[in-house]
Amino acid sequence: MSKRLLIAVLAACLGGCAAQMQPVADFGAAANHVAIAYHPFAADMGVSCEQRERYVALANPGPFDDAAAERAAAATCAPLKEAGATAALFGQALGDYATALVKASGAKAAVFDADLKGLSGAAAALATKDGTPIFDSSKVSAASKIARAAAALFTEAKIQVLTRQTLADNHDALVVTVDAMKTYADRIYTGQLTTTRGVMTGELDRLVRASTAPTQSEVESRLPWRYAQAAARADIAANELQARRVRAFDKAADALVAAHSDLIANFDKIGGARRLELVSEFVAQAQAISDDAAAL
Amino acid sequence: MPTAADIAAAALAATSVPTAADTAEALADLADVAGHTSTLLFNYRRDHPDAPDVEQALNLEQTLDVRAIALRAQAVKLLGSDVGLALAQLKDAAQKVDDFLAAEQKIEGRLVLASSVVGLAGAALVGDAGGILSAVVAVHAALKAA
Repeated sequence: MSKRLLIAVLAACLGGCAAQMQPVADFGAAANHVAIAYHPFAADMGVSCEQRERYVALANPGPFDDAAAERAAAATCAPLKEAGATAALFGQALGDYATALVKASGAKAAVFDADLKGLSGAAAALATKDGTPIFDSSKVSAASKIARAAAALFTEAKIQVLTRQTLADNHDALVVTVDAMKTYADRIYTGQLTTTRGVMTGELDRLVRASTAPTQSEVESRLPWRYAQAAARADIAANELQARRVRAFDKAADALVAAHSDLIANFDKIGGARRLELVSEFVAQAQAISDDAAAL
Repeated sequence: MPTAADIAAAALAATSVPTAADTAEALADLADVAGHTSTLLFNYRRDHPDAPDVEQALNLEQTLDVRAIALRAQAVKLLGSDVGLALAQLKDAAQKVDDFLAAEQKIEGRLVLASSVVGLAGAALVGDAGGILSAVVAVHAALKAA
């Protein structure tokens, strides 16, 4: 074979390889997007708790000092802030794995490309948690595994070429990690949102009742209750939006796992511009989280 | 026709030890019930500021708030300590309390029940099966008395 022909064949192969990895790039970018969407859930549980505490403080008899109420709420809800930081590590591990897949794919993601950054260092963060009662050990192992796989894909030149085996080896760990994220989001965080919303809606009802001004002369004295309704309604709307985002995240998380299986099953069948149906569905579900979040 | 292996597998599945995720969900369920009960007491205080038992309602409400926070934090940490059969009992009791609160409007019953939920939450946080079962009995007694 002439040198020129060899170069042409290699060039064709490289082009083919890059095309073959497009679904992997899109999957990775969408999975990273899901991890980014999850992050506020982890941070917001403590915030939502503080919000509830402050609504309760506003309604309690006795003296009221807003700054003191804020400090008291922060102290009461501190355990949830700490728990949220711990829960965030699952998302970091997923984000790192997803980012590494995009890099290893050799293709540019067609979606959510701007979201992609470097690794967060989840592997190191999780390593320090290992062996402590912070998480159930099997889940730490799973999140650590995909975070370590991400680090390896980034740094070890010998596995820069993504193989079906890389995906297959990490599938079970990915499922466990995503399942832990779902448990946190739709069972624990949603519970806090609901508890907070219960107090806020009760207070809004009372504000509406207190706003009644039978005569024109009574309107002035009722204005504080009338103005306060707007803030309470905005708080409730933000709370409900977060709950909807959790539901969208839940669907995307299921689609993520299905798409990862699809990549493994069809690794050597995809080529050219052909797209994987389950990856496309997953990308659409990931997009749905963003669409609703834009309303925040 | 199921094989012996199928039957054995089904039996094993039915008696399997709850996973850490089950434990987390049970704790989250109980936190929801504690939070819901606290909100009902808060609304009672707000709507009946002159009632003779508002002080008791406030104390219970604050205790339930702290317990709900601790239960959610614990759920995230996924304790992993299996509470075995007590876990199913705990889930069942939490559901019964929630059903009761949905139907019952009298505050007396709610206050008695709220006290038993405080006890159940404390036992669940400790994670001791014996303690949970005792607390579950107290919840059932409170449900009957309310």
